[in-house]
Amino acid sequence: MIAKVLGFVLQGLDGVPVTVETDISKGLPAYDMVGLPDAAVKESKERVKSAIKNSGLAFPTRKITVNFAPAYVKKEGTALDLPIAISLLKAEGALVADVDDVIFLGELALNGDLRPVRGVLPLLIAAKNQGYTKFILPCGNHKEASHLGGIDVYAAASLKEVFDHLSGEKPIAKIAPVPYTADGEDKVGAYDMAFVKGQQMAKRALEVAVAGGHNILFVGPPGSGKTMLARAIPSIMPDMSEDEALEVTKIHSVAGVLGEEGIVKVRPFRTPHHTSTTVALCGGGNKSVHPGEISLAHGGVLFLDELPEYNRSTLEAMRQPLEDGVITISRSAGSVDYPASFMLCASMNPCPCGHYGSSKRRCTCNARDVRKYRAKVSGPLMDRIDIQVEVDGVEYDDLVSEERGEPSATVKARVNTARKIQRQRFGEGDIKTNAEMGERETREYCRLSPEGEEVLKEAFERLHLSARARSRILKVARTIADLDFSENITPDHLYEAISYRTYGAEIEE
Amino acid sequence: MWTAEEKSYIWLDSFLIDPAFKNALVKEADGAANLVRHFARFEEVFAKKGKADEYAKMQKTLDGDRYFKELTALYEREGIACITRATDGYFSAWKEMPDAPCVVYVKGDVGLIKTRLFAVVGSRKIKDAYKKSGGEICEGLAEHFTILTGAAEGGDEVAARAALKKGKVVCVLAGGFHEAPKDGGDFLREAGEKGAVIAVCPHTMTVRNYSYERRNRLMAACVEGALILSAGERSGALTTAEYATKFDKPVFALPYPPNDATGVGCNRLIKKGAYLAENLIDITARFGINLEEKKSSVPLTAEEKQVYERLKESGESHLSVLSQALGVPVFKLAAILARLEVKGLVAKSGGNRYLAN
Repeated sequence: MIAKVLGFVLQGLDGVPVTVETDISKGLPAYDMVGLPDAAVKESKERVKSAIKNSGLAFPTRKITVNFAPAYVKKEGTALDLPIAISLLKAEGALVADVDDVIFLGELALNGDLRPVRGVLPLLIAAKNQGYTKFILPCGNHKEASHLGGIDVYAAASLKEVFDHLSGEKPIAKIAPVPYTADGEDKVGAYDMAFVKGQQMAKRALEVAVAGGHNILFVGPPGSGKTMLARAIPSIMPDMSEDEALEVTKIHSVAGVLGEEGIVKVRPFRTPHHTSTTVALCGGGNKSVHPGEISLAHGGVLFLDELPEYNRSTLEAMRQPLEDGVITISRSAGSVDYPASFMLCASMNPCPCGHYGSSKRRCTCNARDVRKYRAKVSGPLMDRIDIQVEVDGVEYDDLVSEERGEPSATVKARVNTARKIQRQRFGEGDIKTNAEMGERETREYCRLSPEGEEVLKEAFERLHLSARARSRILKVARTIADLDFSENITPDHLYEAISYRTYGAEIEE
Repeated sequence: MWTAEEKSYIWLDSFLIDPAFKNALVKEADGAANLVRHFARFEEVFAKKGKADEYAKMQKTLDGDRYFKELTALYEREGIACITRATDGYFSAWKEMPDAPCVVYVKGDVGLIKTRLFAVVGSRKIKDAYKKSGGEICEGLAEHFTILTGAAEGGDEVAARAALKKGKVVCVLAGGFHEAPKDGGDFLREAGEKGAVIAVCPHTMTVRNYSYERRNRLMAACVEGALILSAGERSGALTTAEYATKFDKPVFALPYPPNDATGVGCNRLIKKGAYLAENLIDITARFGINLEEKKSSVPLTAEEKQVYERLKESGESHLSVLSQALGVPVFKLAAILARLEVKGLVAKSGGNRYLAN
């Protein structure tokens, strides 16, 4: 007798339905699997066998053939254990139930327990979009599944529970969907802008950067609080909407880094070490393509500490995703798109020893080393970092300011208003923030008064700015104007924007 | 066309032997042409100096015109003009120097070396604020002098770039043209196009430690004065200043705050009697060039004026210190300072510190 049961496998962030067909026929006992299964799927043989036996059910001692269709899709991971077991039980006649429209997901333990699997949320979303509505999955994935409404999900602890549920002996209750609430604030409390002493210039730059979605670079000596500033970024970013949260969760689910919560509500903050490889950063892998750090930072912040220490080609690989907000990873087996729209925050020392320009310590580097160090970060990459700001030794500011800094909540409120203005400006298009404006939008939304043009022209001549710096300054000035509730960009906004470019000018020479 | 004397100098200078020895040979033979004519007589002189090999090599090239033709063809290809001791325009100050080159190799505008020359040099390490003020002085000086400088990055580069705006710069290489300096970058190329680059060594000569000292001495000899933009404890720029003093040329140096590693040498020069050069007038006044003190004719708003005055009073200041003192939020202050920077009244000196010009 032949039985057909549905499973789902991941392809990037998307899912593909897989029909598990089992045929049990007369003949010497055998157990074969066909239809492009990978090692983990093939290994399921033994797990399924033991799980069935240890659930108090009989494993057929005849010739078993399991086929996965469509045969051309590579099947990976352990989520097919459960559909294989169910189809076996059906083929043997032990289970009589109509499961044609149910999708099974789950890894089996030898004793018959169900173990959670990766990528449940993206699978559910993909299946839902393709018209499937009934799912049976492991208890361990229960939380993740509960965030998606409009589908019937049953979570079981073991194969026996699934068997009893399907045969009608002991039905399992449906999972109640949990409505989305943005309760991110209390989660990021550990890093608040209020804890960063002094550094008003850097804080203001950070506020502008977050408000307009601009990438930011901190340049300063070791121990000046660059990392602390960066850590505070998520606390002033706008809350994630449900769609955003689901999208971020999908990526984290696929990567298998999803926490207890089952959903990502706090904007991610990723800090890959500078020894990270290109694949670690951008995603890849030789069989299945895993999302890299830039995708895990989607919707949040990618913090690259000590920027010049990163492998140059690794940094260059980020240029395209920085521009497009998505990375396409191609392998011989096919290509996968992972979203990678993040805010880049980088930090670096001004020179190899870290004390160039410092009044306290003497810089021991020679001029050529300093230039070489700075040249490690390419011009095109620098081009994509709109705001570059110097952060200096803490002692200085400590002397000056005793007052506690502004709490993140206040800054966040201002950021939210500025973002609202931007949403109204750009409508429903691809562009969401000022930083994403192209040449056309810049021309339309960053119009300058004749006085403003004059200012910019003079600044160019005096400060030897490059042509590329122009659009950067304009975009940042636009954000500053938004923070100021100003319809037009005034010379003051321009000047402030110009003051955030210092470092770039030097590097571009 | 070359005279016999010039031809002989060009031939002689193409060999990698000590310039002092070359000059001695010419003196002994009473002219370069005579040296070539009676070259065989000098075999002994060479042998005494242990340079028999060199003699044989040189002797061989005197057979026919081929060597000279190839040599001049090479110079022509590379766009190098030769000013020999016998050529009109050779630095008169060098004529009496025992190790001055027989031939000065020039790329670019040959006419520049006949104008009034002024040396402006600096060490490789120079702060942004000084790049700016030094560059401005240099640009002003270039109105009246041709700026003679080295070929390294940092101070020399600042001088060269500033003077290039007026097209009046001569960069002096320590080695031959064959070996381009390792650093320095594109300003040398630009100097070769709009100004001039000269070499005081044979084409194939590589730079040695002693080449810089000789180059600096030669530079100091042919200028009317020297300005040192930046110099550390043991900077090479200091040798230029020392020789200039020796040759009785006025030496100027930019003043630095105490303990600034990039300016220790400058301050020491001033201590030893070099003129302190805060601005262009400090220099031009010594040469009787009348310049009206540049008034800050730029109109300033009330807040700009407040910030500028404060900065002038307090010297180099940190952004947050200024903000605290003036009660202006940092980002507003940064905008005002950027405004002043654009107007050329203020310069960034790194680490969020500013300096009034």
